[in-house]
Amino acid sequence: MPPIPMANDMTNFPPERLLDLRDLAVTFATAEGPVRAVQGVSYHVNRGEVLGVVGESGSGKSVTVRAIMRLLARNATDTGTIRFAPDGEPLTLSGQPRDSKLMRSLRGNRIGMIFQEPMTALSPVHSIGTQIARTVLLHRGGSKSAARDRAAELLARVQLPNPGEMLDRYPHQLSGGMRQRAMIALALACDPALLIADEPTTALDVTTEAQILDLLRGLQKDLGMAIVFITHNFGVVADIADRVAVMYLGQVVETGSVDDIFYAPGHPYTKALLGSIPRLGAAKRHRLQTIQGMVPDPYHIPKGCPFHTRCDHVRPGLCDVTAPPVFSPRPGQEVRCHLTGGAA
Amino acid sequence: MTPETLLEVRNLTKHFPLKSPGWGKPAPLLRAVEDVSFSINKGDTFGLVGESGSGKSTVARLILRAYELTSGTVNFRRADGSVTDISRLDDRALRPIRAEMQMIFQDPYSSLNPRMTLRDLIGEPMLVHGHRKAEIDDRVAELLGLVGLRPEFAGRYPHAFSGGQRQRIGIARALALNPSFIAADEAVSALDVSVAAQNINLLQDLQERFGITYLFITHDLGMVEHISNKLAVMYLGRIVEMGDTATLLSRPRHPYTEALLRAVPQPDPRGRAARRRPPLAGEVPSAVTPPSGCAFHPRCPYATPDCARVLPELRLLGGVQVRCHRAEDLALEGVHG
Repeated sequence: MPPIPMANDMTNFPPERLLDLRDLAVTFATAEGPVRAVQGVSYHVNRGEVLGVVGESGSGKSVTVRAIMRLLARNATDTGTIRFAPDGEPLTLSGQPRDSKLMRSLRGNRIGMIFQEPMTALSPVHSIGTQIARTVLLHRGGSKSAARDRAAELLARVQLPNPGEMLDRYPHQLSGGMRQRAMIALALACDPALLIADEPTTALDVTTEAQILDLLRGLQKDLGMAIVFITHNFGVVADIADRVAVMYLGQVVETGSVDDIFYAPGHPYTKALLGSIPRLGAAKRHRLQTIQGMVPDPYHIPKGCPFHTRCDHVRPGLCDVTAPPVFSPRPGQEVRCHLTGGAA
Repeated sequence: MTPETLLEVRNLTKHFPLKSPGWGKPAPLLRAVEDVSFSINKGDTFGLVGESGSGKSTVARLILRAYELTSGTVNFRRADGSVTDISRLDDRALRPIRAEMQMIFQDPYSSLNPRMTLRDLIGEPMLVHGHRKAEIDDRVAELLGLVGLRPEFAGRYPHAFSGGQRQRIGIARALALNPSFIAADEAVSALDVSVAAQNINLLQDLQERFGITYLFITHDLGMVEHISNKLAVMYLGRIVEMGDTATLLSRPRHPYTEALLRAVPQPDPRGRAARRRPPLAGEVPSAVTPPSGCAFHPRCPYATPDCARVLPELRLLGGVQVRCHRAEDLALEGVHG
């Protein structure tokens, strides 16, 4: 399917916007039936901004970014609009096949991606230097020696010790924290406008996590790139994000500035999640707040509001029947809940 | 051992021999645990924190005799009040004691045999200890109820359950023989936040109800502050600081404890710019060739030349035990309550 940018879409694409998702839905065909992993997700990222995407396992946060990258599994189908404007005019990514010329020219170039496990991004049989230099050659051209110099420069930029020597190292020769840095260098090889970071610090020890967050913050500031930062850790979101999207069962239930989400959350799910984390230095309460029940299985997503089966404020006849409208308690904050306007 | 003490570990040491580099050359030793001593009172939750490679999990496995000790003693108070050094007992002599000490593991996916039903999984410890079938079935139903699962689930297999539920199956299995002591090794670390909170509350309920003593091993300082009343911080096989949790975290005496506390990202975006400090540099060194003197000295912002030469002793200061030469002159930053 060729990209067909629609005229009315262009009107609501302000110049500061880099990425815009509208009503993205992703369904996987499985032997047990369709799994609706993402249903109607809309969010946007402005240039140079860090969007934190939080949610528990199965909330669809990773599937959403795979749809942006056009790297969904082959049994997936998706609908909705994904637009990305790295250099002026927005490009329509939705509908692009995974191996289209456009996508191949964007991935690793204008969109970089880092993962929880560096070995998903790094090849075990090529040296770090070769992997970065090939990416540079592919997208930027130039000579091999210039590409190698660029690789050394990137390794220095991510603060790996002895970058000249590191070029010839293989991933298995590095520690976990160093591999994470090498993967970041690879993702930044061509100065991406957007970095997608999928739980990049989840598997790391706290002191290493602090180092990587510090590095990403510095790089983001210096290079002016935008980041979509996916995590389940509210501490990490509070540390790095400008705005936050909270996801539950394939939907964004709330978006807002990082301050709104932490100090004036509107959705009962956001409130409950914030209450269930033990905070360092908080007065020691006897019990942690919990959310009743568990996340429903993806084959049987509840009708109406997907959270109504676990919500303390559920209103029978309303929440279990109709999908909640979007309510905006303050500019820039959007809450998908029947009760936010009044009762909750 | 005082009458309140349930478990007392003295000079616990574990060296794992690695592959010899060649003929005639001695095998290098991985010094996983070095001279660790602590005691846990009945009904307490003793937190053990540290990063990967600190030796915290090895300590739990040594106490439960999953590994043989290189040296040290482990005194355990039995249900009848007698105290036994279990560090040198053979398997037969250990068996009755094992009923009283249990473990909960991190990974609820790999710690349960997928071919066994919940009845078999939870009943297995009782079968090993010679209980009768009818008795086992009743107890399995009771245990499932205790951990918040329906007794009808007894015939199902682990694959039918979520990660948080599997963790509860592991807890039920650990409870089967009425242990007085449970070591929980990163028991909620793999779970989503709302599920982790449910399971932490369950562990606390069970403690209140049955007076169970926990050794709670984690890398999560927020969690350890919430659940434990005593705390030890480990770095490269040694305890660097130990004491009452609230005292220790509000006024750390060891630079590593301070660095760990600063590294935890706080769910408080307003304070983030003010809190920001340069992160602790470097990585945890190899336990095969640990640094001389204080093992933390290469990364320590307060280190002096002495720190590289002399290993500091664990000593009492302001109500906590600390292993640092400079503990008296440092005013370190703790958490603010």
